[in-house]
Amino acid sequence: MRKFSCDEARAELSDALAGVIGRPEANVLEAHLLECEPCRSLAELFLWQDRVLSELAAEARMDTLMQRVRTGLATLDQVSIAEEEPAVRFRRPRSYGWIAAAAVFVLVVAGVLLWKPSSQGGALTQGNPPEIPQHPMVEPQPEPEQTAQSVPAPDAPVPQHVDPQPPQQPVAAETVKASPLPVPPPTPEPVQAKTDAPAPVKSPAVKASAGAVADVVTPAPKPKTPDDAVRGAMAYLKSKVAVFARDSKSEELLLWTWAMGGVPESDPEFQTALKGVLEKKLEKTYNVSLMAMLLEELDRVKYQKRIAQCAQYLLDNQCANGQWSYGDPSIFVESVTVPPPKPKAKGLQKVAITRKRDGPPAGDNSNTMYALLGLRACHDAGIVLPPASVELAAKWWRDTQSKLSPVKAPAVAPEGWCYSKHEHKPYGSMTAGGVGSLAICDYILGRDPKKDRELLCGMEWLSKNFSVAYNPGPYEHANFEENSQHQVYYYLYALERAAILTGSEQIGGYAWYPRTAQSLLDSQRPDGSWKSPSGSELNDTCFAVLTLRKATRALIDVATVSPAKAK
Amino acid sequence: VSDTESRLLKTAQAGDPKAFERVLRPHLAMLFAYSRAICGDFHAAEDVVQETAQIAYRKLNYLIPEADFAGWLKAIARRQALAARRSLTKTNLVGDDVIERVYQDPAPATAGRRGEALTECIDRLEGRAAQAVKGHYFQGVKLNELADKMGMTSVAMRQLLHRVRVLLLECVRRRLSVENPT
Repeated sequence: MRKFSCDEARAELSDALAGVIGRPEANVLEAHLLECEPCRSLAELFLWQDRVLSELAAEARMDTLMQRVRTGLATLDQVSIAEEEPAVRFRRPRSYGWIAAAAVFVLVVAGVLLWKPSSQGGALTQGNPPEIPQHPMVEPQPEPEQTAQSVPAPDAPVPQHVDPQPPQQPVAAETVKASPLPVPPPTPEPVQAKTDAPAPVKSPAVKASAGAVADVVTPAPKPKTPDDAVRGAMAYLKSKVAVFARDSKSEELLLWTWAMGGVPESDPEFQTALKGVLEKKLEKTYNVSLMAMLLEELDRVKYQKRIAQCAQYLLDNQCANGQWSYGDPSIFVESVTVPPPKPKAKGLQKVAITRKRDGPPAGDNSNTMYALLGLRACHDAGIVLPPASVELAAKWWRDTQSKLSPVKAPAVAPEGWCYSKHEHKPYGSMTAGGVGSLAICDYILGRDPKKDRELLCGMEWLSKNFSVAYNPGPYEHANFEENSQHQVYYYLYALERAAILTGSEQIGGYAWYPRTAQSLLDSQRPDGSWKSPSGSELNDTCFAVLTLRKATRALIDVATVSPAKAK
Repeated sequence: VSDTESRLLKTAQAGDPKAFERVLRPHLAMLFAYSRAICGDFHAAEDVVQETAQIAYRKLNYLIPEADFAGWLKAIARRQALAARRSLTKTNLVGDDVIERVYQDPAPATAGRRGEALTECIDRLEGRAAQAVKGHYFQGVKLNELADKMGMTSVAMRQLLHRVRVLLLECVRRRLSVENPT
């Protein structure tokens, strides 16, 4: 990558402030500012000058501005909101959420019951053979090609037929379809905002009759929103409970998706599945990680002991090189004790867990990224993790990042990760997972992610290769097919985590959420599911829902906040 | 949030647009400057301010009493400005983190002594420098149009603006150091 001298950077800075800088120069300038303190200070001073000048300009035109405000207020219905309303991000208010979620559940159940007799080609009448498990007895292998069917979705392929693309869903007139190439759209971002409370829905019966009339009166059906898509997916997943139940390896992912998709904990099926999960032996890294995430979300006080056991399992399964593999049971899990909460104690009590045994020599980056998600949940639940283990994990990611760019450290260059320490080029799902993992390590270790070079390099790679339509880069488990559809939903969920965990609303200059959501709306199948060529239908649907719901919580340390306050 | 602001906000939440205008007025200049910094366009920033007012008024009941009104407005403006930037196909200008640091305090930047010093320095600009600043910052004329108007090439215009920036910085530094030599 080209580099600027300070003089060049300062001249470019002026161009940037005047709004006449090109993208390549802006990228080089940004890299320069990251490493040059004097130029960064000058940028702030110039920007402050611009602020004063612009404020003076606004004061000089205050009458015009006020007139525009008045006109705007008089035409309130004509504004389009670019994205969701900004709000201080609090922890999900459980009590209200459950009421809303209960309402959604009732409607979803009603929908399932009412759709059943009439739907054609829908999930309930398809009679499709179950998708999972294909070969659940396959044990962890060092190479992903042989381990693809484990849960939740290892970044590995399974030879399957490619489903024909579903018909495009109708979208709003003002919306812009996500382009396979990252070209800035000519209009504001399209997708309707995500709201915490699900939008009100009519019953399917009402929908049907209204739809019949609408077909006659207006040819364009109502555009689909993320809420609609999630409702469809929830109905689909509900119809597949038996499949999940038979393949108990997937239950944590299903429960995590239900919890994020608005299914209340009191739901009988949720309860049954949760009971099964709580009684289950801790055996596999993916499952244990997802279990920790689920329980921390449901009630980190009530389930603190189980979460501590998850932490013990994960620590005891960390590989010597810092990674995680598919994992094996640890005998030390059963000996984890959590002292009963003190009667008047405020907040969450801290429980220290230490590593009791060594895991295998090496694992893979897919298990590793999920293990770190699990450890983050443990940390948020008051489990004190040994810093050495987190350091070791971070070291793995740092040491194995690609080094393809000719730029010398410490400049930020687009670098990423593949499935393990190979000579392969990086690709999207692993790079997004790596970025999220480093953000979690920094968070637990109390470091500033903005100064984490490898994390910034990973984000740079994601920016340069930004896509919501494919898993960018050469997918190593499918003959290095470039920009393929392989594991695209697994990738999108990883992208969601990378964005939220680094606090990025934009990646590569693109608002990631509206584009991702639009892409998911476009690719949802009529039965409410999603499927990538080498992915499992059930897992892909879960990943799509988790992405649409922005399931990842931003990195705010909740362990120091009392549960009552957090709620 | 001052008492006056919270009283006006309550009235506005009850559906009084006049009260909303009054409570919004002190923040408009900051919102305009902030939006302009993000989207890099004078006229688009005016649109953003208008949209921000519309959205804020429509969503006023979501504003919790203890929330920072100016911060909330800024957050709305930010989203709208980012959307404007995308539609203008503008690139990220100087880095969003720099913008956020400079706009961290929503109080008018013209208010402090440093702001006053800069205002005085701007008033002292003459000739082409004054013309360029007036055209670009106060009238929103695009740089290449301004260059045409002033009989310059656009490269010369960009260099002129850069020199004016440096000049203003130096002027402010001198003024402040005269007032406070230590």
